[in-house]
Amino acid sequence: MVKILPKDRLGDFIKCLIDNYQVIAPVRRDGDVSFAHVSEESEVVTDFLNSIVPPKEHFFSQTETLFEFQDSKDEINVVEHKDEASERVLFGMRPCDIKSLSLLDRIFGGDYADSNYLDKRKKTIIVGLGCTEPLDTCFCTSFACGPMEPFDADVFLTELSDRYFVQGLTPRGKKLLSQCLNMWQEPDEEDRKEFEEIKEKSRDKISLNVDVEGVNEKLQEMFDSEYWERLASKCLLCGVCTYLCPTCHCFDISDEMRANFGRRYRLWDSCMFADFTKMAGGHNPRPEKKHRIRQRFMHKLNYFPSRQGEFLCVGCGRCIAKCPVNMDIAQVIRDVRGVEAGE
Amino acid sequence: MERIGELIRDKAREILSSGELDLVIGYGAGSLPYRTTPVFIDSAEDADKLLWNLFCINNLGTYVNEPEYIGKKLGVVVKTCDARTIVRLLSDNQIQRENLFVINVPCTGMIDHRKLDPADRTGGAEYVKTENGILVKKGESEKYYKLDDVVYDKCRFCTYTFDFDYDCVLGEPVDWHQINMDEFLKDIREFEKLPVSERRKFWEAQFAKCIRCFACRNICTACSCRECVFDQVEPEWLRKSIDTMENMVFHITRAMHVGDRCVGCGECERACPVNIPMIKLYTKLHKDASELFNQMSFVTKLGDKGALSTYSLDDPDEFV
Repeated sequence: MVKILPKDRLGDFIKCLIDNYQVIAPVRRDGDVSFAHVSEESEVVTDFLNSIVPPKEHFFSQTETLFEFQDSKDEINVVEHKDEASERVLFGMRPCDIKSLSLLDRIFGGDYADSNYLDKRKKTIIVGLGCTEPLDTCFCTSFACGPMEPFDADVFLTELSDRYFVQGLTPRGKKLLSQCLNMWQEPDEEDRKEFEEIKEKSRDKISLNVDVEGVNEKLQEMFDSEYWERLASKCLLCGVCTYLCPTCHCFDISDEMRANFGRRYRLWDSCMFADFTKMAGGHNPRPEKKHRIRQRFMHKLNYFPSRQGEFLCVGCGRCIAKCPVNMDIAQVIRDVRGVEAGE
Repeated sequence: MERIGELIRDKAREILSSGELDLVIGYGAGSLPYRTTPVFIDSAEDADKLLWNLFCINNLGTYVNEPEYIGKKLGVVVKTCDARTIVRLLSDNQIQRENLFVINVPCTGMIDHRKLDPADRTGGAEYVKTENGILVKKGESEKYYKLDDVVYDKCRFCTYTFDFDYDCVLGEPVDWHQINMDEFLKDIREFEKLPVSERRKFWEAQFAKCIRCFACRNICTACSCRECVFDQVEPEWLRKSIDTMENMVFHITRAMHVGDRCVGCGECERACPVNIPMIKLYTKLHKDASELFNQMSFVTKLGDKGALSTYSLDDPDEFV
């Protein structure tokens, strides 16, 4: 199902979404774009590329209560924590971030079904937004992703000169479009032609390309390589790369109490942090920087693809853009492919 | 600029091949045209990786007190502003002067790539320094930027000179640069006029953005504790759950802990992925220190203790 939406009617479409669903959309606050709940169509922006923090936070939040408890005199009462999402729309998600959900699905929907994540995932209708002008740090095309790939989007918007090319891709996406009335035009040949042209051009606009062929296999032999030590010197072991990554999903579990009420919650964790693998007895199997750096790249480029058949990176480039010491995963891939065997 | 790079490489080759030093920390080519990256050179052959250009923003002083370098002889390339870090760490007995070879490159400002037009940050762009600006050359086209418009804010308020016993100075000497203190403090003075509730609201909104990646702390040269209180689990001084109040506990505690040893390098703000205006916070602390203790802490002289790390028997307050 394809519809055409004149640009000046985009606000009407978003208003229709807000009237029917809870809507999470890109907003600009203090100059920075993030995905947040919106109640007015005027809050929503589309002139952005990557949000600073990826929208994964709306499926897997940084701090998430699992259950609550009350410490009574003789016993501890566990109180179930209901945090059920209502049916909602995530508007304006970029293809790399949409793809990251399909990777996270394998983790949270794997052997152990993570009800918190899956509940939110199931109840979220995704309205994707193609990238006509990618950033210089975008390299999605290197990871079987692309600036116009809809992946799991229910609806996908592509910006043409003065209108949007709107694709209803799933039954609920089509239903969503049919709920919004009096704004659509039917596509003609010219619309389809422009859509195809823009789709093609946007791929060509990706300037950062890295050949990932054979990286997984190469890394298989590099666990003890000296490369990691060389690479690690500049790392500050902060959590920028992992916390801004749409595919990083490691978490820690902790308890906190106030008076005799408490909660158990989970929170994002980072393999860059010293206590990530610190054990109760004080032993840490990854005591040094090189071990933690190795873990980050091995997980993304070797462990995950060996198990799941896909790299754990979508090429959004957030880590490249934001690392304060210019640790660059694209450069690491090039380095790894160039490291001599046995080095 | 090219010539300075050559001088740095020559110097590194010389001191590494003589065995005088174990390691030289300098700048190398970044992965993007507008970035450089810290490089750690341990052999004369590797010295080719060193360079100097308009994007050498990292304060490399942050590495010199890392535990893995204890007992090693380190060379470090410092801009004049970064030299304050070296002085701070020496004054705090964090490093030994005899183990350090300080290579100073005088500088009149580094370019904040975020202030360039995105079109001027793509591959193939060349950045050429002119007297008061930079030329971005791309193929046939050229674009001129006034230096003041594209350098990091901290560079606009830098005196360009700093008195220190450098082991060598490479490149042309730079004259002392007059700072417009009124302009430097304008933002803070305006902010101070706001009622407490407004100021609190401002910082709450800023700290609400914090994702606790700890980049500000990890890049900070004043953060030299081997184990940070915020990493301790037992007792858990800082809850791991993220909320505005806990984020404020982190930032305000850190500010009071490092405020008098902050050298104003601005790396915390540059490293912050969510754009919390750290420099505003730390400039306020500097201003207060200056007014209360007559000590603008980031213009340290060797041996100076931070305003909050020292006392005087003549102190007018009774509790000393």
